[in-house]
Amino acid sequence: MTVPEFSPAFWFLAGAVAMLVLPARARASAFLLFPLASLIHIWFLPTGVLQAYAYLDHELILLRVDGFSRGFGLAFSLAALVIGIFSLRVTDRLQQTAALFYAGGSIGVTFAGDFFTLLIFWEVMAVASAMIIWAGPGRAAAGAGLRYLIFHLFGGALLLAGIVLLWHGGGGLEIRRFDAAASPAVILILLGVLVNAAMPPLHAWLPDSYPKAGVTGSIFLNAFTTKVAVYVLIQCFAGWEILMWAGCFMALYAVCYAVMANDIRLILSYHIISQVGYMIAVIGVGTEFALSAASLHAYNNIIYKTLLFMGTGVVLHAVGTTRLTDLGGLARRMPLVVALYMIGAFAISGFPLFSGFVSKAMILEAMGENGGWLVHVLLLAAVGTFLSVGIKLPYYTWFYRESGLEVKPYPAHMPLAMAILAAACLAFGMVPGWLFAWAPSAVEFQPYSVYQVVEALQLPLATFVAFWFFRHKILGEPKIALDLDWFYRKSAPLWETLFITRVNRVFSATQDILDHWTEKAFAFARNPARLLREVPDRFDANLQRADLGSNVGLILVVVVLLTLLSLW
Amino acid sequence: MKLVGWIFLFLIFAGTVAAQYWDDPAKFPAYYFVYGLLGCLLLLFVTKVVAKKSIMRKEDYYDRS
Repeated sequence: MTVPEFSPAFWFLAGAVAMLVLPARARASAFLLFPLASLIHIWFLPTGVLQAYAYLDHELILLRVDGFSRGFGLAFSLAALVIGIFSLRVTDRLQQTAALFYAGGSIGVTFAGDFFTLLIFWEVMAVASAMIIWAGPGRAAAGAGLRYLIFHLFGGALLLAGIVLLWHGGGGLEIRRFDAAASPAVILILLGVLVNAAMPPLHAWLPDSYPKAGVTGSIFLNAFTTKVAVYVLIQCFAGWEILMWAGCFMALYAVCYAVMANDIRLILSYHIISQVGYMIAVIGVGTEFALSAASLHAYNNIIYKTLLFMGTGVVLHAVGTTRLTDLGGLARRMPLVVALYMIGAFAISGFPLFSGFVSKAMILEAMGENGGWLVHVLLLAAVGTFLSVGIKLPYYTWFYRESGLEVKPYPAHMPLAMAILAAACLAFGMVPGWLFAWAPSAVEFQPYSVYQVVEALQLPLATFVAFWFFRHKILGEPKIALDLDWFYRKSAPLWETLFITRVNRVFSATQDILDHWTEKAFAFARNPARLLREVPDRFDANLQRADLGSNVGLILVVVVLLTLLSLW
Repeated sequence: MKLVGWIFLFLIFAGTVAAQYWDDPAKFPAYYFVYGLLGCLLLLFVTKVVAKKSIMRKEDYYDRS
């Protein structure tokens, strides 16, 4: 089948415009059409550079299809479609419009062939996702959205600076793999991308904002920004050894915070970072197999992480809180949700027969061959994964003790959307060939080896035993763990003084001086006679008339002059 | 958890140990179990003991001016 060759991002952008005009009743169902169209479109797109325009002396490539962009494009479209099903009850026009813009930006980056096009869609993503956060409830969402936007505009500025330097250096703007011997331009681009990948220490925007969005908002946010960054890292920075170290550090750092977190959406938010760490580590390896592992893990991650976020979304919708210390004993009221969530939890923990097992086995294989002992860091992160997402979150949310919370009914399309994703988790785990079919290059790999299965069973078993022993101690008190956002949140008054109050003061002082002198000049111009003698502020004809004697004298002089003139 | 559950988990564990021994007798068959147990205790120690004394704050920490 031949399909029109334009970027599938335009389906989403058209959808966003449609959301602005459609009535509330039609919007939520119409929402589904656009990701569906994109899904079919990408499926049939041929490979190669398909849509490009000359602009100035530069070529804008809006559509470049290869194995990576096709896979990521399909995964993003699928995520948007299934989250659309989950969100069928949403009537908020702003959120629906922003969601489609956001997904469109992600797809636009995925199919961009040059950095200029990439940058435009990158900024679309930043602004649209900030809108989604602002749609969340309360003042917390407003503040977090603003911090999020500032952070991402900063990241976009780094990216722009890198792109300008790259252009200036004459290297051309085509998206390509950079050598590890880096120029300042390439480093700036890397930093800009790492902001979106939430690489510590550039990560604090993510756990700060994602848990504060609305029920469906945080599900949307989890699927796109970080995975788009992973895609760009695969295309441009494969084989950079430093990414191997950074990724392992990232996986472990974030999983520790996930273990500490009390809010279930915060646990999952930190966990996004940890999972992206796995992908980045294996991108650092850079072999063809490693890049396949990174992509397949990203696709799997989009699927099971969305499923997990949906589980917490149902809890928030039905109970109204996401704090573990308030929850408990809800399993009997939502058994289907618990079962579907656990499929996602087993998948993310890499249990045999679940999708995460296959891609995690590939990552461990690639890291084991090239990364030496670093693979043990990833194994430790895997322990933390099962501890936080696989046991702690479900155990204290749905079991442990009776919280007595009232459970509101939730619509059937919510578990339906979860079931679609859960089916994918099981299918890819049981038939790895279906997953490998998505890989950018042919994968010859047998994940079900004795070594992999033994490792994938013994680690969670040990984790479970340790958890069970300490289960009354782990829940703790409702507290937050300070992260690096402390630096800019606590110092906010200082920045406000420096960049707002002080600047305002300079402006207002200048204004005062100008006002003062303008007033003086104005007063002078209105009555210049003041300069010569004492006169009242306003001109008054009666007060400033000359006295009678002078007037009579003046008349006399004129009469005498006229008389003389007539006698001449 | 009921006894049946523990027996079930123990059977899985025994199965993995047997499989590992059969695959490569030179390796320690419960290596990943021990690694997981120590790793989990380390994570719990770091997050529940060290972090509690250093970076844990009340939830309204950022709201108080």
